[in-house]
Amino acid sequence: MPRPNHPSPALRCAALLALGACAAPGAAGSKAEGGAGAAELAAADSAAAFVLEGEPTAYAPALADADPPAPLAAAAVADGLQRLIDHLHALDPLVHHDAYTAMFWGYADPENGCPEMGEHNGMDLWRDECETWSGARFDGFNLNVRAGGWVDGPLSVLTYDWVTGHSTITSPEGVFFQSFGDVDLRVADHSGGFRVWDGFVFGDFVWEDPSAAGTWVQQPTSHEVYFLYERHSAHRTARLDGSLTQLEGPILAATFAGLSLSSATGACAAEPSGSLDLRDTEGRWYTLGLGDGVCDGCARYSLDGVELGEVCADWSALTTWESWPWARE
Amino acid sequence: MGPRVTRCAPLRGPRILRGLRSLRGLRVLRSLALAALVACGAERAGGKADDGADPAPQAEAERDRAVRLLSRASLDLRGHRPTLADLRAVEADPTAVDALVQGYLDAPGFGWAYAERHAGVWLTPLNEADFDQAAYPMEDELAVLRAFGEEPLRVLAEVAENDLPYTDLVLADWTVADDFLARHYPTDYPDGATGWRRVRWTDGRPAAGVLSTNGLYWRYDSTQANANRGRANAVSRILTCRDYLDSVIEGDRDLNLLDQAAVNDALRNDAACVTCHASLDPVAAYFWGFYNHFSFSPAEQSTYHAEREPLWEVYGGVAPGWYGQPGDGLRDLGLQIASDPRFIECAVERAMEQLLDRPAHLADTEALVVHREAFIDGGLRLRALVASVLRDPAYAAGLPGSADSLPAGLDPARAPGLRQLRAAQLARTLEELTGYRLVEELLDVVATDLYGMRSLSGGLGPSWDTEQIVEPTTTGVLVQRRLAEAAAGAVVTADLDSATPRLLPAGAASLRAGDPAMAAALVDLHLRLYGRRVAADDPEIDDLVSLFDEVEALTGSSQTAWTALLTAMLRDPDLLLY
Repeated sequence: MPRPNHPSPALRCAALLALGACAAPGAAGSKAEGGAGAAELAAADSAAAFVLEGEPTAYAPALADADPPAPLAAAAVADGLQRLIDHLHALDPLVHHDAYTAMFWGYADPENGCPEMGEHNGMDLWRDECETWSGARFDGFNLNVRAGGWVDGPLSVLTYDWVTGHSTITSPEGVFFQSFGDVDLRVADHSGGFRVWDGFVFGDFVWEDPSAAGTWVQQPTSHEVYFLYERHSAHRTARLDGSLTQLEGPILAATFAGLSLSSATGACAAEPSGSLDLRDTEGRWYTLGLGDGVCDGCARYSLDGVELGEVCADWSALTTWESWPWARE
Repeated sequence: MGPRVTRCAPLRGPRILRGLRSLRGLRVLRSLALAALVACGAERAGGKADDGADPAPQAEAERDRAVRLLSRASLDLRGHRPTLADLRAVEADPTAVDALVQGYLDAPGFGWAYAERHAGVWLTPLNEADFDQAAYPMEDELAVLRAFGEEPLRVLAEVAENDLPYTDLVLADWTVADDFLARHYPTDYPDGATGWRRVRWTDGRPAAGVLSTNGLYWRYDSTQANANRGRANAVSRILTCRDYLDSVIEGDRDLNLLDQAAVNDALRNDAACVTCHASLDPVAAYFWGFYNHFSFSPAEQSTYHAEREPLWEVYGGVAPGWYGQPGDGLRDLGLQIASDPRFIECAVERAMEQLLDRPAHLADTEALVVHREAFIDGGLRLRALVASVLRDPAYAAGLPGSADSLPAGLDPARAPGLRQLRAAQLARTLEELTGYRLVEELLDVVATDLYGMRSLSGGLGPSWDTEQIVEPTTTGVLVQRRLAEAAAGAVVTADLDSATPRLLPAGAASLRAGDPAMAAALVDLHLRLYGRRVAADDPEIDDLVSLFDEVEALTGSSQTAWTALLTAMLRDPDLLLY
């Protein structure tokens, strides 16, 4: 086919199609010269004919997911919500601190240089990749603070525990410990006459020791959870912010802000205020209408602004503890 | 007089303009650099056929052309040169080239060869470990690093190899992992298995093919301030051929880029910014599930963070979307990209660019339309697309040593020049020829930049910010020289003791200068190594025989003489050009 001096409308559109600059026309097109089979490399003299006859075929694929799964039923959302509450109630920072203590001080051999110990702002820091004489392996870096006994505004700090870094420790027996991130806990007495637990769990933490069976460090969950618990003489309060993922069950992840509960008279311990969104394993985010004025632990849940039903959960564990905010299973 | 070239100024898009600029610059560079490399080759190849004094018969010219074409297709589709048997078959019957090339296209291995050629576009193969190996422990950092970078390309390879619809690239509910990645990735990779295989994620990430791979986001990391915009541009550039960085920006030069609030305001209200960010930022909003709070932490990077998907509300406040279509999650993004005509047209453009080894430009428009049609007609299978490009007369143009290789009627502007082996092709070619491969710590040293060999060999990239350009360089000559010495030594040592030698003729140890069998062996080596036919009485054969003779006389060693001869042949520029 001879080249036109000026592109015809069809050719012009074909050209634009190739440039991605116009929508595909609707007409079904004829095919390029030459079959789709053999490579036909020898046909070197066909250059002048290497053009498409007719209109290009429209690109209009039918790609939408044929049968998208239905949104989660209320029971499944409630199940996921309860798992989330139970997980938050079990998220005791000291489980990880205890794990670190057991693994580091149980296997470190700093006198023989494994790991090499350093100092950071007056705190102990190790950074190394080494194996001790006994066969324990240390990789990464970690800083651990265990202190207390100072005053910080209205707070008299009783204990402050902080593990931060990116490290793994493997015992000679093969017990694995991972500390990727920060676990921070401050326990203090407030001048107003109540005790405070605040801090955060942020990162990915693992301890495979049998003694930690059932605790959160043996679950795949990844956290960014900030907490503040208060123990007053006659009531408890809890506030939670953050997000987490890799929960088990129908709800994979959650994000929440300002979740507040109080067992004080006139407050609500059965249902928090704040915002809470739950993501299922299909990628859909459900919004819970918390703090709806009825303190019954139940909330409407919606998907893309469409209300789907009501879910109820038992939040009481977060405010009915006696001396320690978390369950220690 | 060549065919008239119709130019249509209003059709010139930014990419085409860039292509024209790039092509012009590339051609100038190449013409200078290649001039030195091919001067001797052209002279040799001209010989009796090309100097005009004694034109070869048409049949001989066709044999020459078919042999060269077979070599080009083999290198493009398989990454190494044809076997001697294939070359002899085509020499005997030039029409056999079509069936042989079709066989290369259909053969296992096409997928990875195709994907590997796109490494210079995707830029995911990493060159170095940009993390503290002590802080972020891995059992074998380099192997994991290599695997991370290959993962996205392996998804492309899987699609190509198995004739899956190209849309699977962004819709598949699987990735491809090897046993190294399996130690770090949450997948169902079978215990005890080895090698690359298709696996499914177990961390609840959306099914979005390469858009859900860790490797893509390891390579294209982000920060809170960048808010995944770099990732969005990478996806746009790789999958739809729109590179926002090609845009000319006439923005407020007084804008304080350290003032995040001012920057955010400009992104929404400054026309110069909005032009791009109106479409870029919604794409960026899809990627928060791959945002890492702890940079370079394997634990962070290996697991999808569904809980971070809503972070676009905090950082930027622009909801996910694709050119005005809202979406929820990467699955939607995959569907939106797969439905976009630009996705298909970009695949066509990329395939043609890789096989012609030059940027697409305006003169390619008609051919691109043909290839696009073949791609769609072929069910979006990449083999159908590649077959169409192989049929493109431009593909067969510019064969080495041919002055008459411009097909009649082909717009000269479409004719590509000589191709030069990329680093990975050079490594594979040498291995296929000699069995030698320079491997260090499990890495193919020539194909990576562990020790800078990839860059030194002339393949500029995949670097962090530029697309791959392969050019002749001085250091490339040094790399080839060293590899030639090592590969020649290895294959001669092995072949002289072997009843089934790999490259040398049988009984090579007893061959002497003057033996007809020696000349015949060297004719075979020319065909095998360069895809070039020479006669037994060609002066080049005489030169090689003389070299062999002199080295043997000096050393008294046939093995040393063969090593010297093969070293000379393997360091010839003709090995690199096709």
